[in-house]
Amino acid sequence: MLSTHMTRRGFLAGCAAVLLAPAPARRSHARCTQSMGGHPAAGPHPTPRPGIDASKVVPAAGLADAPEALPAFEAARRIPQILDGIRCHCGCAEREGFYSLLSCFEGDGMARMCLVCQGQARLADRLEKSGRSLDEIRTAIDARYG
Amino acid sequence: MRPAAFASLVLLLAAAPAGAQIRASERARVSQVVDGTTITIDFARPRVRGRPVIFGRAVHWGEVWTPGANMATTLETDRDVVLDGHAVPKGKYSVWMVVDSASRWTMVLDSVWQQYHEERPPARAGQIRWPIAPASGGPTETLTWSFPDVTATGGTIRMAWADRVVQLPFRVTPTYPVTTARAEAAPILGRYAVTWLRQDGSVEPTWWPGQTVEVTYEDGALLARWAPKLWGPDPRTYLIRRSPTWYMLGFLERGEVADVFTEWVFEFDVAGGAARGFEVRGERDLLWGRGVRVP
Repeated sequence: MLSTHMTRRGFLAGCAAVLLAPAPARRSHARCTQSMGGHPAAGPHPTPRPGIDASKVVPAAGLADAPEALPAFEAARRIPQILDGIRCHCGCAEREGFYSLLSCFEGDGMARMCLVCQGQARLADRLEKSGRSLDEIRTAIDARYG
Repeated sequence: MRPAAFASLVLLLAAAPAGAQIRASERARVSQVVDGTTITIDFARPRVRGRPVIFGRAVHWGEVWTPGANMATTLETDRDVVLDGHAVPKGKYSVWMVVDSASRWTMVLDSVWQQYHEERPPARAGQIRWPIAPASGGPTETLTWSFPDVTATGGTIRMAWADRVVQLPFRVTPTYPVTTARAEAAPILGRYAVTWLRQDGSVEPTWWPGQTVEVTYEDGALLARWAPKLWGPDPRTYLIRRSPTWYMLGFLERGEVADVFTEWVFEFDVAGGAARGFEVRGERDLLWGRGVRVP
């Protein structure tokens, strides 16, 4: 039974600890906004680059230390052209070399440890599968993470 | 000057900290963040220094006085606020008080913020003015601006010096307004049976078993009454609109929002003018729970 004295975020932290242990990527529980000093992530969504693909997205073999991030990376591989039209709300859009949410899933992008990057990709994937347009997905992501 | 003496002088000057200077009224700055709004007051701090009477003598009745010294006290807010019931657009203002009598003053915020204390501004466009009533207090030796209390939606700015205290309640522009239009709220209203899920999709039996939530519309906002309650002393939460069908929880303390729980979003499935239920999605878009409309 839940303790009536448990705090909301203590509850979530406890859930995460149970659900993800003994995964070594416990660091993933931190939001990028916190790790980056809470920068606001306002700004226009980028225009998807013509011909963009998922060739630079980290493959599953490179995510052994972050198994909980696998579904989000699968989403990035499935719909790179959608993710390339989304500005990430976690704060990493301010980083040098960043173009779009897709950038978070390439190279040493922070999606492997950021709940917000992962959540945006999974939400985009879910909405795209239900037939939503890029504009509708952007609106939903702004509502959820903006 | 002999070279040795000159070198000593240079060393002495170099040893003094840059900008170090004793002032009768030292400069100070206080700042407070409330729900993303930062209010900063920059002021000098005169001391009573044994003077038996400040207001009515050192500060004359009728004087336009900056509650500070030297350069006028400034107030800066990076978002619009409501100060003592008066709308103050974001910006930087010099702060003045017209000290009419012991109990009747006028607060003045002047958009020309960089002014010396003797450049007393006349009433003019660009000012926000309203009457205030200083209270007896103190004695306060050194003029002090402070934020003695802070809530989730505002607080109080306090100025105290000698035997007078001015308290100015303020409210910030909420990041997450609780209001929802009645037309958008209507499909959401009703009672739902809630099931909480493990991350593998199976039912989590220990989280609020048998829970229901009743959603009502009160004073322009959606209120959810949870049984059994979630966290905290109040069984109610606000549903805070993020889109026409997506809501976050706003937890209440003493009747006002004290925490917006952005980790979860409630996605209502609206069809035919009424929600059939909702999903609870976490930050990683994982499914945490479901609600199904019940009679």
